[in-house]
Amino acid sequence: MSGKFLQTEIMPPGVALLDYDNDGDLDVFLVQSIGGSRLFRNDLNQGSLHFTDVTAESRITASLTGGYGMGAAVADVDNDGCVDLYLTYYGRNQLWRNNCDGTFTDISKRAGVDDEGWSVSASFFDYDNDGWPDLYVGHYLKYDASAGMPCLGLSGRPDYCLPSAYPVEPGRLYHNNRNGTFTDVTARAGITEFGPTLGVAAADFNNDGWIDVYVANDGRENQLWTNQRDGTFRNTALVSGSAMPADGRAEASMGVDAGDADNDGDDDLFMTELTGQGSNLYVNDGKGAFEDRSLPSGVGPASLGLTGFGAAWLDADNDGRLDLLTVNGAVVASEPTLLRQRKQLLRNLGGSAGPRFEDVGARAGAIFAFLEIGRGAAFGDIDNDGDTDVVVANNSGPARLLINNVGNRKHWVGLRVAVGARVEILRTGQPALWRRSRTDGSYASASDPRVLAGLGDLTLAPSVRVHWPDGRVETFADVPIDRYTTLKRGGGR
Amino acid sequence: MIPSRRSCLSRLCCLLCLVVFGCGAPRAALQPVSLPEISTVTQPAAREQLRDAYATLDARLKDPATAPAELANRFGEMGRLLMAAEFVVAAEPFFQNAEALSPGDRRWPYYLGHVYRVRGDVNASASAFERALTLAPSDEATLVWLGDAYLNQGRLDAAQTALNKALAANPRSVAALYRLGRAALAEGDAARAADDFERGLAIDARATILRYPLSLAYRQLGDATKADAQLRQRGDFDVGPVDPLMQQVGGLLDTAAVFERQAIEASKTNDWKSAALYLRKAVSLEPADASLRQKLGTALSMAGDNTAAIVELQQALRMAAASPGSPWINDARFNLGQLLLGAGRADEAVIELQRVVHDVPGDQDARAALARAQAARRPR
Repeated sequence: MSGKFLQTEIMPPGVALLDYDNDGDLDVFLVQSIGGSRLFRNDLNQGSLHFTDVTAESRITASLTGGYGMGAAVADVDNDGCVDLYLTYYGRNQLWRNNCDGTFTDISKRAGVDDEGWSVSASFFDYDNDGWPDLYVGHYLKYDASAGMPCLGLSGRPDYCLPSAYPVEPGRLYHNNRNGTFTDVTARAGITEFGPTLGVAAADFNNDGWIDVYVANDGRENQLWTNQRDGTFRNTALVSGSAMPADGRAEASMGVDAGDADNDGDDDLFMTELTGQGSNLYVNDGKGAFEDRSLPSGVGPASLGLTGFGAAWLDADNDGRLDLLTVNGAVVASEPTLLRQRKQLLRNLGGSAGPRFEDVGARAGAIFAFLEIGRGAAFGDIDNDGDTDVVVANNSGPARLLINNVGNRKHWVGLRVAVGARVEILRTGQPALWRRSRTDGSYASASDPRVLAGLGDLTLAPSVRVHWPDGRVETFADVPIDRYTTLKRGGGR
Repeated sequence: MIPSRRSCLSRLCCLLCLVVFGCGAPRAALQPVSLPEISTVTQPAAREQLRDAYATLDARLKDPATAPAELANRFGEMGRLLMAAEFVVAAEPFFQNAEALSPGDRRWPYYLGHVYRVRGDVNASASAFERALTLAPSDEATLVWLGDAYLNQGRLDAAQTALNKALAANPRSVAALYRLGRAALAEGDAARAADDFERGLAIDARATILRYPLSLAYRQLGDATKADAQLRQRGDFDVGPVDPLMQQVGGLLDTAAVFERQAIEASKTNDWKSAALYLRKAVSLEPADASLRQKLGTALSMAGDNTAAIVELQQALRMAAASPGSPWINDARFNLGQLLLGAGRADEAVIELQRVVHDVPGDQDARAALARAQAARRPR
């Protein structure tokens, strides 16, 4: 941090997990605000976990073009089998096409997604079910860093400003034209309300087979853009109970993720907030209406002392229930001791009256007590051992790789399915587990698209029912456990 | 804690201490304190206040004759100033020492409760408010904030007990009803929640913060019409408990920002005279701040002092000429134009209103006002 209280410097960085070389393991792209972001190749297939900096040979010259790096999103935008990389900036965003040979090409301008302004989180999702990933780019604030003036506290101390000090910058929805280009369809899609967006998570919240998008805003009501199945969306956040917590105060939502916390077949929402506000859990009734369960679940009380950014649902202990992990760090400089914060792991205890969570960070490893300015977090099985690991991107500090040594003591099933597909893991004598392949959510970050579901002590191979993005449903019997299996459309019954 | 000879300097002091407060901690048991880095405090008056208070505390601390109650007051005063200056970490040990020295004074655990609340340490906050409550069992503010802390701990029963006591202490406590409604909503009792929120709004319809949770309650009750009606009226106007201790803290620092905030609070109750007084103090501390002058002009006009309002708005606009992008300029010109017209100075009014219409051609109010001003202009 520069000491000049530039708003831009307090927000980044994000991080992306992507298998850019299709060798079966997750590589890491670390966003750097200045000085060049880095791509690290995972050399796991050489016998042990090791990363090699391949930025130069990848030809990704991100952050060397004048922008100030914020975050990343990933998708195979041209359906050529190689994952591409979208980078958000304070400046002009970039789309790097994966050439499938270890190199990337900047196609931002040609693709029409070289948004200018200030964006942090973006999400690829197929809103029209045509099999091609579309793109929502959340924008934050209209801010001129060159004219940046710090805000003053009550005693005249300079500090970073509240987002309300600046006008909101509208986000954008891009339709994938299936030819390497995108069209800005924001207005046509009816997306006309915007907040200062920091988090985006797309999922089919009302279970109608069409992907919706939840937009988490800083200090303003959040939006739930419900897909109207005709290329347009309607903001149903207020009527669905997901615009803000039940106390009626719009909070500073940062990271967000959608996952089935109560294993009832729909996606629940979790988002991180400022110190004193507490994270929020909105439980879905299956039709896209939500109940604020932050208090009774324990999620809110446990997180009141933290300013949360990167966050995700993950089954940290492979017991079949989705837990929560957040990386945290404040946004005020006035008292530096408050700036650095611990990471938090909230274990899902289940419960007949809705899931309850307990903070197990104290026994999850020393790294959870380590105080840092956490921002981005990407989640995935980096060492391919059957549990979810985490890469943490810190502001003004080194990245951290958190290797999970707990989850793989239990059984699991790993699935490679099309992004956007939902899977029901049918366990004998147990309720189904619902999971979803996605890369978005968290904060300014992109995660492992593979589905990894914990099975606990179950050793019987489950059946898996896949709900493909186009609506077709197929069942795959006896999917092997404790390994990854690729499920292809048309391969089931 | 057992009093020591060091903490009670004489039998009389010790006796007094025991009778009035109960005897506090020995000095050796006090938390180490230091003045935080205040060079970043840009308002000289605030910096001086902090420095002076710390110097006074230091002097008292070095003087073995200082009575524990006096020392507690000095620690507490320093804590309050730090809290007012938003040093919520630094304030903690000062309040801890004040409480240790004067355990019978409810102010110190009360302020500690707020320090922890701001920092999100809900357990420490609840504990501090509990201690404050034992010293003032029917204080509405303590009960509301304790209930709030219990709510944030997820202890809904305890929260409801505290909040019902707050309501018994002040039956018109919208702050208590708001939190009781939240507790009921969290318990799944939408009918009771709706009743609590409705009662709160009946007492003070300005409390628009209650309308969103009320809409949630009605939706749970299956009444979409009422739910939608509440959604349309939602807002963020909050009504806190009657809280004289925190109000004192809010007014401690002599800074423009503090006076401006007090002016905003006064304006919420249409007390424009007080708002203008606060803004005048703010302007005296920041005479080069054009937006403060503009606010002062507006407050003066609302208070009925149009002559003074015209002077301030004209001065604000002259100062703002150097930074023409200020978002309030056209509002100030419009108001000034109206005031000038009202004062029979139509020529000047026309000039101001023409500028607004030039900058914002779609401003119909400005166009109408301009037409009136032009009509009122004396024939040349």
